[in-house]
Amino acid sequence: MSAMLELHDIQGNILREYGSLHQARFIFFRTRSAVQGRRYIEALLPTITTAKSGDEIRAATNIAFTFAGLRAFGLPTSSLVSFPTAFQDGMRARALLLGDVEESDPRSWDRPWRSEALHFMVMVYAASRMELEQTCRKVVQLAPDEIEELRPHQEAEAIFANGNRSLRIEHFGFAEGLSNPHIDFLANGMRQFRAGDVDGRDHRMVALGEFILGYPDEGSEIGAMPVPHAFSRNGTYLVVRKLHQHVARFRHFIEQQATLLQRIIPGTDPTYLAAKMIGRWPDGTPLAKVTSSAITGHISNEFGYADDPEGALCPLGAHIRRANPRDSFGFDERLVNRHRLIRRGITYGAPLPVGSPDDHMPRGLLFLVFNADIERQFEFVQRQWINDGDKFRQGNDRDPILGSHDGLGRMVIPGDEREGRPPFFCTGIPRFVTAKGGDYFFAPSLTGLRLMASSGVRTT
Amino acid sequence: MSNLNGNIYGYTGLFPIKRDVDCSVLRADLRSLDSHPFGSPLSSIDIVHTARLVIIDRLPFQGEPAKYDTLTSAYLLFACNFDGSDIEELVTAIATTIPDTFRSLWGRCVAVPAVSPDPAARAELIEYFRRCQIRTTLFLVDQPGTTVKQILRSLALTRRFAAFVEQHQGEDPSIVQQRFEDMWQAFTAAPSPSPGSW
Repeated sequence: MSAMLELHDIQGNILREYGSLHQARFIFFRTRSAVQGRRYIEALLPTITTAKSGDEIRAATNIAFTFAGLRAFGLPTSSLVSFPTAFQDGMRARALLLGDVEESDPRSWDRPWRSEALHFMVMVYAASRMELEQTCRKVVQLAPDEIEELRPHQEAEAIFANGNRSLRIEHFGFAEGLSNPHIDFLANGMRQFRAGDVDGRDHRMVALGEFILGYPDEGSEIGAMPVPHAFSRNGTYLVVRKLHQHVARFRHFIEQQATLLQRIIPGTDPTYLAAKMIGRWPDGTPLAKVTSSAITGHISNEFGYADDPEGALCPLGAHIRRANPRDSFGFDERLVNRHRLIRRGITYGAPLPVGSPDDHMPRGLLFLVFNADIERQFEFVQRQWINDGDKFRQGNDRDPILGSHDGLGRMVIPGDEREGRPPFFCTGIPRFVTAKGGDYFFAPSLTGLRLMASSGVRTT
Repeated sequence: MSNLNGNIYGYTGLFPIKRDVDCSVLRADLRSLDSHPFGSPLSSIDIVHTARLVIIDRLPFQGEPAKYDTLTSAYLLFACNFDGSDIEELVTAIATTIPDTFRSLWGRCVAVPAVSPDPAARAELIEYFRRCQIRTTLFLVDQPGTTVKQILRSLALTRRFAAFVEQHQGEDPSIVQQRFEDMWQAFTAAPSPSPGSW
């Protein structure tokens, strides 16, 4: 089912990748006055980038609010209680559900995430450092005295593989941001707008209502929306997680395990092992399509796993196969499409040169996803597919890269009977990624922001 | 009978909580059960597969145009799968094995009978559980013909075998075969694990 889409009313970073805007700063705020807060939104409104913007923009600004923020801005109780439980709780309160324990315990998070005070976040993206500074300066200058900036803000910058500006990588050295859902909607009567990369010609498009409130979802229903609907329509929920990547730890583990791997499967190397854990070669070529690192360069999202039921090509428990099982579960992908996410992550921190010892500097990924239902989408993926393996016949083995490992993590790399390749059992997987902050936000539409600014959010 | 599947009985009961009981305190007490050395005091009852205790004291607000709805009482929900054919077996096991835990939790419920070895008192307690039982129309379990003891032994074997595979991958087949024989002999001679012991 297709839906008409009001691009001018939807915030830009939801449906736009901002691919050319590889610098970013996330500025955190708290308001001490609902009245001043609303004045600030009114002042910011003309600067907010919408989904109608084209690829020519040099900078973009977007905004999102926590539940505490919506309350601080004076939304009526009758509206606040209609927001979903997960959003009301906030990410910190749901740490146990999400596997944020031990190293990832919220009590160890960076500031300002570990305090209760965060009300809203302004996300600024730009094509250059100069344009980033100009835009951020304006954002901060517009804020009245009652709006307090919570320090530190979060800098972020995309990393590119070998200077190739079209291929972003993350700190473990693998291409990232390659897979986003192909969304079913109509704009100006033609299907010409895509939110990120195409997900494959043989795969179903995902209903718009899975990502934007007020539209039919994969169940052909318009999902529950906070009231009043005029406020929440064209908005969505944003999940932010600051994920520190233990790069030296990852490289050391891969090197160590690869020594045993090479004895069992001659001809393999550390890159092979890392690719099996992730599901793609470093340049993004999917294992499901290409089995040798010698013939990479086929970066693609046009693949599935139906022809690889035992994981001989891409292991059943590999990271990308867990994050998006595609056609693994049959039913024409209808089960999987209830748990898709729009991903807008960006790296932070300087890369650690290959061969360098751990310098203990902050580096990782600012994981940003948009979804219309936090519990059914983000939390489901985190709990059922990342921190558990039952759906993939992996028992309770966790995602090898993102899982909350305790040094005893395991991953089975299936063999291939056709080739006579034996399986390999990765053991002693440590935690490679630690959560250092995060929260749940609501990203209102432009209409919603105007209603907030004018105290127009009413349920009666 | 719709509560039985194979040799497993599925019981769900709703027990009204006394009005003067602070449900937040009861919730905290339920959460503290996790600190038991074997995961739960119910681990002492070797016929229990799974058990769940939930406090229901408010209904969710459904949003406009719904109104706020309330309950006439808070409830303690107890859902339990156990080896057996009648709830008499479960109630007897709870009353004889963990009477103090029972008094601590159910003691806050309305009209709960005393826990006592006296046959008449025991019969009253069983009848209380029957009165609070919710009718089941469909009961599914993944392993209907398997007891708690059998499942624990299977889990122990799975764990032992997985460790064996990890330890000996890549070794010469003749060595692997000998080590497997050793592992198997040791496993079959070992006692079955008790609930919550690992």
